[in-house]
Amino acid sequence: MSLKPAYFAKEAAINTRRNLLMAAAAVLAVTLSMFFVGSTMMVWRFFDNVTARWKNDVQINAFLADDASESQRSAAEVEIREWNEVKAVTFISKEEALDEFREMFADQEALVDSVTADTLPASFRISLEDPSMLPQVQDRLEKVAGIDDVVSAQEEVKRVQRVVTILNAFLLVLAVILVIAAVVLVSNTIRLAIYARRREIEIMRLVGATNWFIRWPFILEGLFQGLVGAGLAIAILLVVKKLAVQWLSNTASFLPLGIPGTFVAFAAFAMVFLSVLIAGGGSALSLRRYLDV
Amino acid sequence: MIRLEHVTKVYEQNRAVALEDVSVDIQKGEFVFLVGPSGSGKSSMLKLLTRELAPSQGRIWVAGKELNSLSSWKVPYLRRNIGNIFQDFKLLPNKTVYENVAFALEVIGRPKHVVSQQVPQILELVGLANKRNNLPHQLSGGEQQRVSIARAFVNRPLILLADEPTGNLDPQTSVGIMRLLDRINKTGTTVLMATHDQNIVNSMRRRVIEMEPGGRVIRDQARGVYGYGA
Ligand SMILES: Nc1ncnc2c1ncn2[C@@H]1O[C@H](COP(=O)(O)OP(=O)(O)O)[C@@H](O)[C@H]1O
Ligand SMILES: [Mg+2]
Repeated sequence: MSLKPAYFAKEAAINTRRNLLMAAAAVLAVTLSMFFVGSTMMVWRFFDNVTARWKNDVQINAFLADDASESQRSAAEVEIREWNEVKAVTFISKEEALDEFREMFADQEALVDSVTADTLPASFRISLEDPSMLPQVQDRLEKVAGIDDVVSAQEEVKRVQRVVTILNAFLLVLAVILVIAAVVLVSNTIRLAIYARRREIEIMRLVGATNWFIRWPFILEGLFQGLVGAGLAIAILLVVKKLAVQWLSNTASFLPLGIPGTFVAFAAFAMVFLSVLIAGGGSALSLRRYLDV
Repeated sequence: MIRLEHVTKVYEQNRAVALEDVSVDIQKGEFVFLVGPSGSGKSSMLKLLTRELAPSQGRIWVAGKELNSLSSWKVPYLRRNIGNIFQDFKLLPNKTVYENVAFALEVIGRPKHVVSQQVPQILELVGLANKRNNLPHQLSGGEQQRVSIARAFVNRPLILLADEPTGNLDPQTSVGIMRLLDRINKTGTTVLMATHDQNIVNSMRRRVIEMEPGGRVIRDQARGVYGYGA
């Protein structure tokens, strides 16, 4: 069979122009769905960054009882330092705790003024060789004389992870719904294009055009809508990502905001690939139903 | 060239019997009229030959191919051997005369130089060389039918199937169309034409196959006339 790319492209362009509104709706649906797929991937990667750092960087705060004596304190410190799981122990006195507090809430004067060194407990800040040993160490710490309360970020990390999982599941469901909508809309524009060309198609069949010759312009039209949609989605996603990073680095500079370029490229590739599937699926649906030989 | 063996066609949707045990053999180069009242199965028979329809029973050969076992991807190639013309011309309204004819070659992948050589030739043959840039609505019925004949014949098919090609034309114009079909037949093309037109059948005196409602062939006669009573 002789392929005629120029002919097919021209026919596809004519189809698209004829149904500009429907084509725009289909492109928009692809854009939206791909934007959601892309942002789901980004959000997932971002929280993976954050929680990964937290996971590897777990510290335990062991607060001293206010009535703990100086000898209890030093005995505890010596004992903890000897444990194999413990990497480092830092003592934070009441005064140091106050300094940290002041720094952390520098903008909130009222709060800072209400707190004195007496209000804040002294503590040991303990980091571990192996973060997975945290529960055991935490249990042991609670039994050490003079230690009142043991706190770690572990629960926080778990809670954040739970929230992220739910958020991701939600985004994923939304993305799936939007993908289905996109397939339906692409399929619909192709159906209209087939309808608009029914006379030509009848003649093509009559004179012996092959099925693929008849189908190609419609497949190209669908692919075109898919690719334009994916391109728009990638562009929007990059802009939104940039704005989000800007905003977060102002308000939450402690977060690891860097998403590697390779991951962004991978996400973009996945979006293009998916949109080609959407477009192919949408076209195929209509071709099967309305272009049977 | 065309052969039907005990062919029966029943439309599944409404159980209408279009052909009932039809056996017909048409040689290469023949000119055959297919006559009979409305609903006697003439159009159905023509559609069976291009495999637009499949028979309910019986076997069909066209241009050396056995249609029952022909795989569907080969059907387009079968159709390239068959020209089709219709009562309603089936021209594309937004294409010129030239474009309508060229379309038939383009969509079967013929190269540009072949198209630009063959189309003017065939327009010359049907007498429309001077109207090549007209749109169908700027032509008379007879001229439109000539365009559709040009389109059917431009690929030099072995067979020409005509379904009441003069059904929408006045007698004068019909004679012109029949002359054209006769010329095409003289080039060796097998012509099978379904028609209601008594005058044409009677004046041409070619082979006549007559069908009756219910799809039976009741007469197959060389150099026949439209009906015994006519
Ligand atoms: N697409 C169809 N679906 C169902 N019945 C049909 C269809 N086409 C034709 N028929 C029936 O088949 C019979 C033959 O029709 P047709 O071949 O069109 O006859 P003719 O061309 O001689 O008028 C008629 O009874 C008609 O109602
Ligand atoms: Mg008919």
